[in-house]
Amino acid sequence: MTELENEIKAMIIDVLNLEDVTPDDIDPQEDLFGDSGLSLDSIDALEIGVGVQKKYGIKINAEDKSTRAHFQSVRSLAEFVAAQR
Amino acid sequence: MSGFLSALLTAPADRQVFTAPAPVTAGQIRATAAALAPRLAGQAPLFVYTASAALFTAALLAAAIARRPLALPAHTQDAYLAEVGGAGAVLLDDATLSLSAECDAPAGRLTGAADDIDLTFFTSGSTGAPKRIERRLSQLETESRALEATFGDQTGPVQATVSHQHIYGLIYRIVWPVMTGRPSADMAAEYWEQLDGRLGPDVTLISSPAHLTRLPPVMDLSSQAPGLVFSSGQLLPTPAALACAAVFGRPVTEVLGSTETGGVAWRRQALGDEPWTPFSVVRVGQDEAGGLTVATPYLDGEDPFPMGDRVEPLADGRFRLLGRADRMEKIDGKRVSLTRVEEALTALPQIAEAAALTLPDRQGALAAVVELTAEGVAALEEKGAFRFGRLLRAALADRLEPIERPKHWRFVPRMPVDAQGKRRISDLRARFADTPRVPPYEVVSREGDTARMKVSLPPDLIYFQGHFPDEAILPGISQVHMAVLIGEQTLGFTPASSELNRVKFKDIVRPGEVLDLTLTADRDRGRLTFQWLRANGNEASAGVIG
Repeated sequence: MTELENEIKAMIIDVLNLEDVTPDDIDPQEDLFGDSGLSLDSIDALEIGVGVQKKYGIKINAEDKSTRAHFQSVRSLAEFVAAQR
Repeated sequence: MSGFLSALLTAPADRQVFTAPAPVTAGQIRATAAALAPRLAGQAPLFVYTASAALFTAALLAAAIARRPLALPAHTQDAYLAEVGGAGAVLLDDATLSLSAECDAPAGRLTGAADDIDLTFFTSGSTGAPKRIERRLSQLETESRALEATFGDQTGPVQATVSHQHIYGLIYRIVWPVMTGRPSADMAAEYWEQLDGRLGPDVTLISSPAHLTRLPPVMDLSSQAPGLVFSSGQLLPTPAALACAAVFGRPVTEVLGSTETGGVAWRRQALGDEPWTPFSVVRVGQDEAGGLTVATPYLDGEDPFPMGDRVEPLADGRFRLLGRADRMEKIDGKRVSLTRVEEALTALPQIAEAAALTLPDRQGALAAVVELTAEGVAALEEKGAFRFGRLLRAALADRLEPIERPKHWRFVPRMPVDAQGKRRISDLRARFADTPRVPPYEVVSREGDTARMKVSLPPDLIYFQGHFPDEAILPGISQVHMAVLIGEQTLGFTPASSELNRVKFKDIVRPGEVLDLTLTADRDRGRLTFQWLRANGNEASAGVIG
């Protein structure tokens, strides 16, 4: 799981063009979208969604209520990806 | 170069003043004006609206004879006319105007003409309601003389795709050509196809982005390209300008101006976005907000007129337009006020000064250059640039929508300003220029899918920055990253995935070192093997990617 988490962190850093940050700087359990933590926004979520689809070939249903939960943290995203592929 | 009215009054009767679709002579215009002038007497306001440049010119001459002002509505819908004060006006339009068949005006009928005419234009104001703008014919003549001085030797008979009811069309299609004796098309073309056969290298085309962004896909414009193409009214986007330059074989001449000021500056985009050159009679300046101000001889009064566009002046007297001075930017389709963002930023206890800007290189993302307070400096040192930027983003949540919160941050000891103490967008954007991610290297040997190179790691390499604040060392993951980038360049190979196998990080690498890198591409399995060696022979890292 740690390997997948690191991959996802690297993907997030890449697609969001985050600077001055390495995968080690992101706690897999921290909230990606809240006003603490990374405080990403809906456009960021869109880009991460596209990144996940491209990298893992997973379809994300934007209408699905659980999608938001999957995107909560790097860990939940890794669990989602692992379950889907 | 004679005045507009005297040119009309003194031209030989058989001189063709207007052409296309049918020629109209100076004598016919004088005869039409002489017949029209008595109808213009009285107190009722005079509104003129006609598709014909010849009839419009006759109305101008008649107004000079009757010594009456003229208003130029943009169209003649009843509600619009009422809104612009045209209720009860005498409307001179295509239904009431007709061209005289006489070959000249009867002798003595044109005496006593005024040498100037008051003109009223209507533009859509900032609220959307029509705004009255008063100009005088003599000001349009002054501008025509400036145009002749700048472009006269390149200009020929005029064709057009724009109306003369607006100031640009009136000057470029009527006042300037009449004053210089160049024939001008009576009717503007609505479609490019109507110009087929009327263009050519001696022709000057008066056009606008409406037509220049919609070049006809089928009609062959290249073989009949006009020698000079003018565009005004709004900016011609660079891609459209380049497309036009390719079709016409020469760039479009864009004119920046407004009804209030007339033409201010011009440019030709031959290779890309070009700065603007002010006309020689125009003095451009900047107001306190960095907005363009202009003083022209076509304006009444001495005070420079604010244009509402922010500019960056260049050392050679030209300038670049930077967008509207109200500093509204579209970010992901939403309007964001940069001023509002800066106010929210400077309200934070960590921030002393802030400049908000957008970054065209990063899909127009919102960014901030920030000068910190002592509290901010301490927080930056404690948390590092990335976390601190994220914390500021979170701290703005009370005041700003997510889209209004900067994504990219630069923390500077002093806000960069130019010699006049002004912030320059180019200086601010330069802070976000991408630092090269591939360090300098040289290939030492190459055998099949294996390459060996010497890689220099300068101290300013991006991977040394920010990660370990006290001790700059090369992060292990960046060695993997550089191996992939260099492998793409030297072997033309990208691993099938970013999976790492048997990767070991063994020794520390410091700024300024020169390392030995060996890469082997396994194209069948989509894998890249790498090994970094330090100068002392120690392995820094090695492994398999993909």
